[in-house]
Amino acid sequence: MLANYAFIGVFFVAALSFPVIPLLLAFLLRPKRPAPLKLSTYECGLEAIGDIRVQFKVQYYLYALAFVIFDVEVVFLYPWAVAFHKVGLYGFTAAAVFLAMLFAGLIYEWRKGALEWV
Amino acid sequence: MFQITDIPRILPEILLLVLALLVLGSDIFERWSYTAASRLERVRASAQLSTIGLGLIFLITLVQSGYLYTLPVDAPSNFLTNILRNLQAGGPGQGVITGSFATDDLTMIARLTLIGAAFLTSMLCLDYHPASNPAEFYALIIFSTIGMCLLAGATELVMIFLAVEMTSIPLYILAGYFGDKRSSEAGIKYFLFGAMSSAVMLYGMSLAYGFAANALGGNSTANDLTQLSKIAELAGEGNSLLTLSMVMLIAGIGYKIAVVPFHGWSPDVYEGAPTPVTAFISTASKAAGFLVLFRLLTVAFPSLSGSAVFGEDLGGWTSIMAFLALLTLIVGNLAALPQQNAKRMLAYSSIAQAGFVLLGLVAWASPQQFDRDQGTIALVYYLVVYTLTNIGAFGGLAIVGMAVGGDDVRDLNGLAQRNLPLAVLLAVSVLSLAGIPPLAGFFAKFYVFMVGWQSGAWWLVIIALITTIISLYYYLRLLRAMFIEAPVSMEPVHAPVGMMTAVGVSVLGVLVIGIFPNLVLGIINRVQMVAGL
Repeated sequence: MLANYAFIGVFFVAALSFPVIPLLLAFLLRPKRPAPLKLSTYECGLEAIGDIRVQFKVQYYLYALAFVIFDVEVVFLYPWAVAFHKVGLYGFTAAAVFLAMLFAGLIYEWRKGALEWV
Repeated sequence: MFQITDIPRILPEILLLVLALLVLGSDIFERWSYTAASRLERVRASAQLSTIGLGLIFLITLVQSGYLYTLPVDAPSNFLTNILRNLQAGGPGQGVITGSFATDDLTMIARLTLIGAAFLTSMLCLDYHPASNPAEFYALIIFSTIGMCLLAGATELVMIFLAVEMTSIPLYILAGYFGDKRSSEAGIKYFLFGAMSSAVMLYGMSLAYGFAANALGGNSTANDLTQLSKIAELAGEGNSLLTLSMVMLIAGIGYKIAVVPFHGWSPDVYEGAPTPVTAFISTASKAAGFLVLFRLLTVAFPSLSGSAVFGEDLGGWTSIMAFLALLTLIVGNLAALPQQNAKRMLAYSSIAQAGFVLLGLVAWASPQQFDRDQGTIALVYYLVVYTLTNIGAFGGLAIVGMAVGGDDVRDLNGLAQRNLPLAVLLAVSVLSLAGIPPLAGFFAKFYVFMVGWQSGAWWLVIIALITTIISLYYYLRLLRAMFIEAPVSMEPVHAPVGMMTAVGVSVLGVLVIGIFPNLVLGIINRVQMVAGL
């Protein structure tokens, strides 16, 4: 049973060397000629202004969440709409339940004030 | 296939879900104004709803389990007995729902423990509440409880993963809920470590699935390869791939139950999180983690159990458990010694307690089925006792922390003169953690030592005994602070009724189980191994 652990040891060594060796090889083999222009941040050819780590309003996050939920809803409903005649009443009920759950979520969001821009 | 008759078998989970949605809904359908008084009323409403609801669900689960009273087969048929009969039809029994959820005695006992822990936690939160969005706070506790209940009965890898996530994600939010610097740090730290451990666990699961598919020739269309019993069936003598999968699963769950060397997150998280939440994380989520680890190892990897002592069979999971227990006991108990913060000290103490629970798993090194069953019983018994005791200890600290404003050991100074009942309750909890007879902690430790010795890991038991004696030092330091040291001020410590009741209930439980251990052991004795063995 202990012999099985040799495999685990080999596995971990292999897993470690897999990323390390290419990085090391690249570091050793690549030509190094740094220049100020080369090291500068590339941003669509424009001069970079300020720091990227700025604070922004946390409410964007709520909007993104709400957007993702309704985006996924469309992704789910589209195949259902295409196959509407084939899935019949069962499919209709399932989609109705799905929509009802999302609707409950929307009501919760609305009552919690997540839809208001403060 | 899932059948309509399976619904009573998952009734506790369904009720918990309904309660969680009710708590959430109660917050949005009521018009709350923004004055301080109405905000307080809003917190109270959510807290009372969730506490009462959890209490009722606990009672329903207790009735359903049939541990107190089972309806005789020949009982007359009337309205009451019909309800009871239908309810108890979903009680503990063999058979696994759609291959993924077992509702045996182990699940039932776990449900009672976990729902009880959630009930005590929400009672602790009656007065120790967040300032904003109270309904979400309580609903998250309930959602997490659902995850734990599912975790305790999960017999399939996907189910285990989903239940782990359902347990953990609400806990990450709860740990950071109070939004101050320490609480946020705890939340983020818990989340990062938890995500990492989930990844490791998922890797292990994918390897187990790959092994099972390989054993069937690689091109099988079977869709039950993630079931634990199926993996055991295909395991045969086991090979290196399966061992690797097992090691990764142990590591992943090891993070959740905070055993050394996977314990790095727990002192910081326990210290930073709101104290009632700490009580919940350190008891319920740990108990659920141990139960899933137990089910995983004993159902999926029985062929790899090996032996805990040095010899031919070294390298099975009992050896790993013995090794982890050794590290956990030593590191947990020694690291607790120099702590100045009482919460952090109890955090290390609960790491050390996890080491004792692992001894119950080591019992599987014994070839006799009897010893293994004893190990299972000792494990479950220890978890029940530990859950009660630790909620009492952290609950007491929560009261002191709220009244005094700090949770260092010196904040406990002279507690006996400032609030004697609280000091006594806290002292009983701490003594039970230390394993002083006649409290429940003593018998739990004794039982675990006994099964450890039987399994042949006598060296581990001796070390466990020595570390128990070492642990007395830091437990007694808390007692010394409370009873001997002079108080900083003579102002009495105010203990809110709800919190005091929660601590009182858990201490009462510790006393009753300690003096009459057979009350609980009689129930735990029913835990038989799940199908597939």
